[in-house]
Amino acid sequence: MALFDFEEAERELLDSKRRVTRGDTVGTLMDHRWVGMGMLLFVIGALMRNTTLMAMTGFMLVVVLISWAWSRRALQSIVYRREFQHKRVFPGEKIDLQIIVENRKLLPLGWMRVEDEWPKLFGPEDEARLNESPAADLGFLSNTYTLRWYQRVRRHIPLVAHHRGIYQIGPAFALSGDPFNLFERGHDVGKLDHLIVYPEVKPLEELGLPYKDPLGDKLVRQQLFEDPNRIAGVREHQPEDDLRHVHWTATARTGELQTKVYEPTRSVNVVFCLNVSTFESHWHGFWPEMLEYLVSTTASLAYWGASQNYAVGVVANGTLVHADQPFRVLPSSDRNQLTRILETLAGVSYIVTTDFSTFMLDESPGLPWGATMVLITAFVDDALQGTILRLRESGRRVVLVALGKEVPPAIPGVLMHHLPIDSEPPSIDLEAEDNDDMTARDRFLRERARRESAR
Amino acid sequence: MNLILKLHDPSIPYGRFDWRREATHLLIALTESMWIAPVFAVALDGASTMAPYSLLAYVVGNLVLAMWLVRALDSRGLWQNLRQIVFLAAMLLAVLLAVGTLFPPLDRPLVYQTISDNIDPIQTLTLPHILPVLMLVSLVWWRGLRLAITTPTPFRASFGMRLGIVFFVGAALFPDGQRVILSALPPFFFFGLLGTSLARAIALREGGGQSTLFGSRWTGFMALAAGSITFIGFGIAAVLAGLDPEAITQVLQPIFAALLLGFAFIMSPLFFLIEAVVKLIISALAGDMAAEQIDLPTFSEMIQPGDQPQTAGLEQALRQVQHFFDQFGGLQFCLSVFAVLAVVAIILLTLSRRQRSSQVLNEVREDLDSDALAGLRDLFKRGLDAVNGAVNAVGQFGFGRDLFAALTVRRAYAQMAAMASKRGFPRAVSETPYEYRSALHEAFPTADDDVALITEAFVKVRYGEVPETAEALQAVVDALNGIKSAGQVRGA
Repeated sequence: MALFDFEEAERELLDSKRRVTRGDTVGTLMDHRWVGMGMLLFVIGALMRNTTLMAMTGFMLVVVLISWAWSRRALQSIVYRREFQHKRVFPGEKIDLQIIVENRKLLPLGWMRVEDEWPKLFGPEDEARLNESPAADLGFLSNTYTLRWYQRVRRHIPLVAHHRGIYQIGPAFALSGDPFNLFERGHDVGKLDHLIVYPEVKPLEELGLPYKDPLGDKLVRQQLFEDPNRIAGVREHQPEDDLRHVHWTATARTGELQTKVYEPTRSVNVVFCLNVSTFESHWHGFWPEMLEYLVSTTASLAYWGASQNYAVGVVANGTLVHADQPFRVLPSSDRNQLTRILETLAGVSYIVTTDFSTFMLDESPGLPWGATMVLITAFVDDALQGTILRLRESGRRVVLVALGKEVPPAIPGVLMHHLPIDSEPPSIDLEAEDNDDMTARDRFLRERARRESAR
Repeated sequence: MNLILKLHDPSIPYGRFDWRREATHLLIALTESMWIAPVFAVALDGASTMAPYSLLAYVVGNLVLAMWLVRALDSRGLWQNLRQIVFLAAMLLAVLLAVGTLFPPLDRPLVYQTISDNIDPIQTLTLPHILPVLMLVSLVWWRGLRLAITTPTPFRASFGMRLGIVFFVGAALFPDGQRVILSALPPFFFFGLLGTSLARAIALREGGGQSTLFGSRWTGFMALAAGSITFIGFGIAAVLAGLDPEAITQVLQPIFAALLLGFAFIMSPLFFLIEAVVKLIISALAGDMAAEQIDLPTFSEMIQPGDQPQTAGLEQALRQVQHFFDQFGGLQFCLSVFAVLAVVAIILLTLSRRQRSSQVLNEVREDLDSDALAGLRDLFKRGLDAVNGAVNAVGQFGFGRDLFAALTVRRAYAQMAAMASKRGFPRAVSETPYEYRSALHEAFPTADDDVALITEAFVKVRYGEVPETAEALQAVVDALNGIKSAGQVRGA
């Protein structure tokens, strides 16, 4: 009817509030061939004056037409959204998920199935709720609905965070159609959500570290930097002074150039440097338990540092999920800093961008001078020892936290903690045959291990 | 025989009784019966002379009996060979009964003719009588067996419908089949549509994840929707085919009579109960003498057709109801008590099921009342605007060529804007057509002239000026085609 109404047609054209479009026809039990056959038979019936044939084909065409029109409008004005009790949790925590579906139109919805892509590691408490998906770590949260006109359905599903990570929820695909299943239409609904599971944070005593000054007696011996927010006083301007520090009000009052004198910064900077490599040789692969231990230890130390009002930061030679660059959270005593660090650590993947010893040498110039560097690593090889010595020689204060089984060698002037992991590293079965379940990466690592073993 | 061997298929989950599955089986069986009946009418002399609904009832009875027999045998877990023997014996009995009673042997061979009765037969076929009876009854029983041992899926349910349409087309070419087809069409579509709905519900419930209940209310709504579509479809089909009112009445009369009969059958115990209670109250209030003097009409009297004109089928149905209750009048009280108990039991069962299901589903349903009112208001307003727009458009351009030209230009502009919007250049609410033109030029950089032409034409139409010549109008259409092809080239 909008064809006759110019104003309405323009309004429809400009209406940007359409919730869900009609979607695409993804399946039909009576396609265009049936419609074509029906029309042809109707004409044949008319030519033969066979009213029964005409009535039969006419009946079929009317049913198909009504079903098609119904199916086209089935997914219109459907609202699908997820509401999480919390979007940031710690491992083992349970949260309540509400899935809300609304039918905001007069046409009832005979049926609708929504398949929501869901990570198994942050899945429903009842694991059977997730249907299988081609991806090993994903499942489909399937829900079937029937909705009356202008009706809302809320479903509560308890979720459990099993493992650290940043998880994407969605996309969701809705399948619906006419109530008689002649036509099916599908469309993506809802938006993507992200859930964060922080790494496990343990008390220092549980880790085996002393609660009082685990990083040494004096964190900072000398402050070379000034805090521009705290002015200690004014003095006469010297030629080597920066013009930006001129106190113009005092200059105007005295008639001579005056320079602001700042208080030295009082914050204690601690940077936690995380080595994501779990083995000395990359062809050994990846030790999941060790990575979790490394991340958990870093998070626990960061938590402790923040609770001591230190300016804490994190750098690592690993990448975040969906990224290919090493990350860096510079020290800050901002009250959101701990959240920032935990969120970052939640997303640490096992992918190593560069060797840790090289990474530390490259990274140290960018870190605040006077900051204590806490190196958290699974192993201490010769290269890393050399790097630590160079950092010490250049005036950096370094604390080493080694989490591997082997006791690290003593390095002069470096405070060291050895907190060996409980579990054993995964072994590579060099004699085993390759099978279809193995990924290309697994195959490569096994082949490399064979070669190294032969050498 | 393969099917017979499959009488017990361990892959079919018969474990828990699900009324939806049983109802789906029944509905699919009813759908299939509707298209098998015209085949009987075409193939058998005795069947062609039967009343259409009697023939339909016969086929339905056989098919459902076969299906339930198989399911009963299977659920009993009888020895496999014994199951086959029982099934084959029952089928043989059905054939013998058909030959002996409904379709007795004729003293002449069966002659089949094709094409409708106003065209000369182009082919004849002569067969011994027993053969088609055997074949058709076996067909019915084979379908019953097939339905009983397969899990009802939406595809299978719709397969029955599609197969039925093909059979209807074939049977419609024979004069004997045409009479039955008309009667079978409404129930065929009704049962078919409802059957596919229920099959879908089963598939969704068993397809993993959290499903909705698909309970009796949903089924009732689906039945209503299927009934409405069937009614509308038959009405439109009848008009399109030019069926005479008598033929339509012949089809609809038994359906309404059956509905009325069913209603009366279900409600009559309640009527009797009300009658008894009213009599009791009156006798208690007015005393025995007064009660004797008051002559309340009985249910039988209430449903008397009286002087009102009734159709033959309806009258017959009412007489049957009257006869039934007159015969079993002594059971009125028992029936009434039974009906009340049944209603109470159903209510309690429904409430407990609903409570249980809501606990299981952990689901809350809310009505968006304010939105519903707004939606209705919006619908009403849009309808009013549409009528107003149509009246204005007709008033401005009349019914002639000008209206057609204005609509063509408006469509062209709307399509152009929709294509531009898809390319990332949507029209803002505040933009005039001239302001929007620059965005359109960016969306279709190789079709500047076409964009300008359509925009100009649209603005002119907006102010009541339509393309005067057919060439000018064709130029607008060509411009739109040019933009479409430009868009495709760009997309490619």
